[in-house]
Amino acid sequence: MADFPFLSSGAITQYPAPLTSGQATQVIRFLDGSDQRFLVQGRVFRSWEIRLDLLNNQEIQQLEAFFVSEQGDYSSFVFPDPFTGNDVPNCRIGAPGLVTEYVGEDVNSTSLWVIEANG
Amino acid sequence: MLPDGSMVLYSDPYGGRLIWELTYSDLSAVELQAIQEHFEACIGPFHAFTFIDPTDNMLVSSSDLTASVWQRVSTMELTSGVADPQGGSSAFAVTNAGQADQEISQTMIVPASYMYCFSLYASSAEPTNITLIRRATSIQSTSVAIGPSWNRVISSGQLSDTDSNFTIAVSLPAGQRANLYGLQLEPQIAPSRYRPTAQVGGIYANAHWGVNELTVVAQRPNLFSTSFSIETAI
Repeated sequence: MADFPFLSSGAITQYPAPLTSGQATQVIRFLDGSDQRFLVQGRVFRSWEIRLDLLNNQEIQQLEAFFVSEQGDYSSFVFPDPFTGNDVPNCRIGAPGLVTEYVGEDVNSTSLWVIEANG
Repeated sequence: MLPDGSMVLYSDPYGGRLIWELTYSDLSAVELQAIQEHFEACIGPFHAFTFIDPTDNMLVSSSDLTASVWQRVSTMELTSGVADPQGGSSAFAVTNAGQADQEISQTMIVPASYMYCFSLYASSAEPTNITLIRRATSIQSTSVAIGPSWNRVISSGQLSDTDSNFTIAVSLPAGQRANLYGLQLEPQIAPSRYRPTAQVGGIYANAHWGVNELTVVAQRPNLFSTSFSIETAI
């Protein structure tokens, strides 16, 4: 299992750093204005948007290599949560593709989602 | 819509909803944690909670002190149709015909420990004092002098108790008469413009988170932002 690459600064992500958490609820609304609610997910899952700018070639190459090793969104990995510092198991990249932008010489950027799953 | 341009419509009299879009910026980690903990405690939109509309008057029937939600003894006499400070005739003359201080009050099921601002317009033909009261287990009273001119008087602050009932009241000394208008309670430190209410005040006991996911953005160390919606059926 590959490790999510750290930047040369030792950080996982850059500011601004969005974090999303939730547990989906389905709501059925009735004609009398009342509703019935039920959970459609067994527990809370988190997802992190990793926005990275001003990456050097080595940093962007590490991310690309990680994406390839994970086969996109296929494989799971342990993600070091930048908010808590805790390792979160069963994480995946949130999309089957990764867009990397070569902005200039040794200057690159990319953005990806990391999503937490149950297995 | 039919091909001829006519429309077939059905009314949905119970489908009304109020939705608040709330945006927060420059939150500390402690403030953000409080929001996240509440979201998790409710499991997002699953459980209901009581929401106080930050843009409304919490009191019910603020424009009708004779409504049953207002508690008073029979010797606290009310006369409606008194000229109010906004050019109408919606004020009430309140006369304490009893032998001791009497009050007119309203009780709500909200946390007593929040910051509240109770405000109203008051006047009196003869100079007198009225007392604005905020109470739960503990009590805070503010005595104010009033005279022939309308004045907006306020009582603001937090009670240091954990009661889930909160009462506001206006007390008059025995034999005194005052004109009252625009009673308003808000969950903030100072009053905003008066918002008259009828059968519904700004407290919604069956509100839900309107989002399945709560997104927070770390802008800088210990500086966060978030936005979400809260909704309730009306």
